[in-house]
Amino acid sequence: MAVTVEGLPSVVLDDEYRVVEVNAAARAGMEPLVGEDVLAAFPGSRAVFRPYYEAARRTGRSVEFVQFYGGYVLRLRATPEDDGLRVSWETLAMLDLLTLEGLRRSLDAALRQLESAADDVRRKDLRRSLRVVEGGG
Amino acid sequence: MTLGAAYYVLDGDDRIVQVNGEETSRLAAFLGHSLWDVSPGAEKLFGPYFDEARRTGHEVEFTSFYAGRVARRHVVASGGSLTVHVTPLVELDVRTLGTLAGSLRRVEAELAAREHERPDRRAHGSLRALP
Repeated sequence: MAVTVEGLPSVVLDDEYRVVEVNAAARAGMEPLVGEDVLAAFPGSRAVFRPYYEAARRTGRSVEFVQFYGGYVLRLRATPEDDGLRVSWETLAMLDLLTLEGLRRSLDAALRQLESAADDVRRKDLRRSLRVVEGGG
Repeated sequence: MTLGAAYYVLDGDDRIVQVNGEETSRLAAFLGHSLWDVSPGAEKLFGPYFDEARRTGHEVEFTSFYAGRVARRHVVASGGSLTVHVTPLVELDVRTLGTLAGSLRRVEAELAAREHERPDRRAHGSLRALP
């Protein structure tokens, strides 16, 4: 059974990435997109999100990833459900575009989040490799 | 020199009294308000140039990064009031890391090319510290 963390914004996408459901936390930004292809609605998002969504669909398993888009570093989770793919997200960092000083500081924080996420992935890959080496499957 | 079509006018207390053009349309909602109240962080960047224009009576031009873009501002003093013409030059594109990196390079190049315009370089900083 898929569990969505309460409070996080989430949407459900059909097979053609159309928004078919929006939870209360996502309503303000996403409700106008119901019925729309979410990847078309956000320019440039197809290349950065779709591979993860397809992996979740292909494997039938939840996929979690960290991605930069639209000035935000987001942690996303794509979870296959009976009625589509549920995508939930939380904001880890956002760029401050007001001044160079703010941009420099916030970009540094955003890159640290992305590097930390990449380290997590490497650690998980390493653990998986170790399990194989140790015969853990 | 060609002035941008967009401009705003400040009175002697830096209150917005007139706005014209798309690039400055955001300020139209704040007529009568202090520019510094509705543009956080801008006073440190623009204030020295505005002071110089008022003090000398000369036209002052400067290029700076503010609110996600590099723009050239041309300041004309008349008594205590100022007319600030705004010409956008480069905008940050934050859609993806790729577009961000590309637009950051353009921002840095634009600022570097206009380094000579800055009377006090310490007040502006540089993107060179960025990764």
